[in-house]
This record gives sequence, C-alpha cells and structure tokens, in this order.
Amino acid sequence: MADQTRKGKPRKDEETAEPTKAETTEKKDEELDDLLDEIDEVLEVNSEDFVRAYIQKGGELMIPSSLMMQGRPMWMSVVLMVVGYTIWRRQRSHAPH
Amino acid sequence: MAIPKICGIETEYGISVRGASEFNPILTSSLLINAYAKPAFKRVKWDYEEENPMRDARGFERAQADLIAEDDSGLVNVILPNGSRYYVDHAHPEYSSPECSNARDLVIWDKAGERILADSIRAAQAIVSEGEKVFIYKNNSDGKGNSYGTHENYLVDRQTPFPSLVQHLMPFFVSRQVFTGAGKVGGENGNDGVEFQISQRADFFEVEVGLETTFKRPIINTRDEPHADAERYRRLHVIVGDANMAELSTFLKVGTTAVVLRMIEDDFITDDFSLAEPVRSIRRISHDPSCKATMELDDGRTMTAVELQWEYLRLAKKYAQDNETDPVTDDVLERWEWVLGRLEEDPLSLSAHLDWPAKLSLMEAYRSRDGLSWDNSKLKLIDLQYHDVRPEKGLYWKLVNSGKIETIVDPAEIAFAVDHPPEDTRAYFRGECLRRFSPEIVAASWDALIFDTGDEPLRKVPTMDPLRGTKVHVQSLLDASPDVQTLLANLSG
Repeated sequence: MADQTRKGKPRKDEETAEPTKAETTEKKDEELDDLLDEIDEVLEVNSEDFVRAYIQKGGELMIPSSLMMQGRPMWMSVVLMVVGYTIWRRQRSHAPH
Repeated sequence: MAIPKICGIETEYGISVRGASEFNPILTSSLLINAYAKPAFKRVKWDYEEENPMRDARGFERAQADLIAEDDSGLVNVILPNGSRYYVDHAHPEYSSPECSNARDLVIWDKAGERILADSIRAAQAIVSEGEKVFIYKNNSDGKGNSYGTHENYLVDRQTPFPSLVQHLMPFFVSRQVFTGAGKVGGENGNDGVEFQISQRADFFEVEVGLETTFKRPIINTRDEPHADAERYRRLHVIVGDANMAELSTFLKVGTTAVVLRMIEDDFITDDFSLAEPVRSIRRISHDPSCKATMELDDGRTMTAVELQWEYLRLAKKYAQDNETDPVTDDVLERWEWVLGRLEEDPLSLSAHLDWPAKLSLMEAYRSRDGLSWDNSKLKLIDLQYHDVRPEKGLYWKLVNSGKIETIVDPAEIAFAVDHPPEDTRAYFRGECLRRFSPEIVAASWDALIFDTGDEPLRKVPTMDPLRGTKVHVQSLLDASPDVQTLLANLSG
C-alpha cells in the first residue's frame, strides 16, 4: 500500500510536465474502467435494499414508544413528551457533543 | 499575539447491522467499543465533573469519592492510551481525537480513529450472533434526512471577542466546503432536485449562530465549554464540517481554519466579507459542483466560494510574512493555493486529492459506463460505501490502494497513533498515564485525571492547560515514577 501511495507536495514542475488534456482524459478513462471492475467486486449486493435499510436516527430527538398515545389522553402524552425532552436535554448537557 | 491552535476532531460514526432481526444502535455501539477496549482501559470512568479553573496543571486538590461521576447514561465511555475518548454518543460510536498541536498531527490521529473503528468491527464480529454483520461509516448523513456530526475544536484566546469570530468565520465556513466537502448524492431537509452536492452537511444548517447541534443547526456554534482554563481559553466548537476520508481534505480543513483563527485573534483581518444570506449561501455553494455559484456580500459584491477563499488566502499569506510561522502552516498555505487554482480551473482535476471530487469522478465514471441516472441506488451505495472504514470494503481505501487518491502522512505514523498520544499537548500526559498506570486511575476527562492510590483519598490531577503535560514537560517525571505514589509525590514536589 505504502509504495502505491503518492506522497509529498504537489510540485509545479509536475504540473508543467503533465500531458495534454485529451491524453489525460483518455488515460483516466482507461484507469477508471479498471477501477470500476475492481469496485464492482466489493460493492455490497442488492444496492437498493442496502441503501434503504441504512437509517440513522441517533442524532435526532427520539420519542420512546412508552411515551406515545397508547390510550392516554392527549394532554398526558404531551406532558410526558415535555418531561422526556427535559431529561434528554439534561443528559445531553452532561455529554459534550 | 495569537495562541497556539490546539485542535481536535470528534466524529460520530454511522452504524448499522445486517442480518439481525432487530438492531439497536446504542447497544451495538456499546458492544463495538467494549469489544475493542482492553479491560484495563474499560474500567477507567469518564469524569463529567465540572471543575474550577486551575492555573497550575501540576497542582493538586483532594477529590471526594463523590466527585467520580458515574456515567449516568450507563453508556460505554473509555479513554484510550492515545489520549482519545471513545464512547457512545446518542446512537453512534464516537471517537474524539486527542488534542493535537497542528493540522498534520490531527490528520494522523483522526485517521487512527478510523483504524480503531475498523479494529472494533473485527473484535465485535467475533461476539455478535452468526449471520450478523456490523457496518461503520465515517460520513454525516443516512441520505434520509438524518445527520450526525463531525465537530472540530480549536483553542481560542478568551480575549478574542466572539462577534469578531462570527464576522470573519461565517464567510470562511460557508466557502471552505469547496475543499472540505465529502460529497453527497441528492438533497435532504427540503432541498429537492439536487443531483450531487459538495457537502454532506450543508443541507442541515438552518440558522447562522446558535447553541444547538442536533436541530436548527447553526453555522457557528456557540457552545462555551472550554475543557480548560475558562479565563484564558475558549474552545471553538465547529459543527459545520464534513467527515473526511481524504487526508488532504482534513489537512486543509483544519490547517486553513487554524490560520484564519490566528488572524482573527491578532485582529489582522480588516476586510469585511460578511454575507447577505449565509444559510442560503452555504446550500447554494454545496449544490453547485462546478464551483461557479455566487454569494452576495453585505456590501453588495458577489463572489464565488473560490474567490472568497482566495481573499482569505491572500490575507493568510500576508499574515505569514508578517508573523513567525511554522513548516505545517507553510505547507497549508502552499497546498491551499494549489487547490484553489485547480478548483477554479476544473474541480474534478482534484479527484486524486479531495473527497468530493474523488467521489463525483467515481460516480460520473459509473454513470457513463452503466448509464445510471442520479437517483439510481447504486450511486447511493457508492456514496455510502466510500465511507466504509474497513480497508477491504471502503471505496475510499480502494481508491487509495489503486493509487487514485494521494495520502499525505505515512501509514506507519497512523499505526503508531492508534496506541500513542501526540507528544506536544496535554494528551501526552493523559495517554501515558493510561498506558502506565491504568489500574490506579479511576476516572479521567479532558481536563483531569483521578488516581486511587489505595491508602489515601482519591487524588485529582487537573490538566487545565492543553499546552502543558507534553513530553518535554513530563516524560522525565513519568520515567522517574515507577508507581503512582511516586508520580503523585513528584508532581506535587
């Protein structure tokens, strides 16, 4: 890996030594085709399901299901949500984010 | 005189499990960290106790047993011997890098975090039920309107007026995404009709300045929690950045921001680039990968993000001439200039250097080979898998290993940073104490270590100055301390 890694600063002499734009594009196309074949081999299968299943709710305010309606009067749910939110805020204030 | 720009990056990683009947991200994050952390480090608690500012990092105070706060959330929270914090934040595993003194070091310790996560997956995989697979992504969005953060932190002089930080950082933050963006397919948070955009995070910013980090996100975050001597220092908590895979993206993100902060501290910026509509502008810039979109300034001028960055670079170069500088800053300025030149010409010419051009080039190649439209799930998968931390699966790593993306630090430096702290900040003292004396440490935090010597009350060693506790300061003292009792005696002596 290390020997394939390009290191160091981009130098001006490298830039001037670059081939013409057309040549660069052609070469890049070929390289990319090879790369795409390689990537196809590691891409997760069934992209649609895979992407759909990736859901991250963590950064958002989550309302525990126990606080949802479940036969309680509406006002009680609202009170519980406010209490829950306050606790959540207090916990957050202890955990630098 | 500007103070040293001690800096760090906290990354909330995306987490997912396949093959499980149900998936609880909090439990899985805990399992992941538990599987990774060695028992010796796991029993050291995180100390949430707020401390009084103490000027002498070598001073002592007696600590009562009740000072050791239990992690009241009951979540896993460990300090690693490289000085970092590895814990569950909400429903994500989070790696908070140790304090670094410069952008190059932060690239190394940020990358070490990726390795720690990848190692954690391997360790966790041995524990989870058969058929279950754990996935970790270093990105900022699930593509469905949920965002999680990558926050930079910079040590700033308390005397610098906050309005002056806001004035000069706002246009800088809105425009720097042209080189810090990690790239994303589609728009979120009401930004429909976007095919590909520069930043993962831009869609989620709704206000200019504020305290929140998880909703109504502000471009400039006002959290004032210095984790250091509050009379001298402020910790600027920057929530507007993307999680970067490309080393140059991280290097420039941190390096340019550090230079701009130093200029602000020294009152060097006399120009006013205040934007008429920062929130609209940050999205507008992100939605235009050609980098030609313009923003209106308060004074009526219109500028592209690259033009605005040229202005900051011009000032930074002048600042570097007038002030003492260092090799990393020189490198930052050189690469900054080089990148802006290329962005102006053809952003995709940076596909071997920065995240979003790398991702976009890859996607364009797929689009032209397979005739994919922008809403094709394969492109969304590529977007996601680019950030997979496993070297054998992550597409970023695929590009690096094929020589398609440059790296700027030595992999051996990253490997070393997994278990060792930076040497020129207080992280050195924290990490070395962890490595040498973890059985006697009951709790630790950014600004203190609490020791239990067995026959005395618990002893708290504050580390309120991020610039102290370096290798130069404490190595000989640590080497002369075969046990904690001697260390504490030497510290107070």
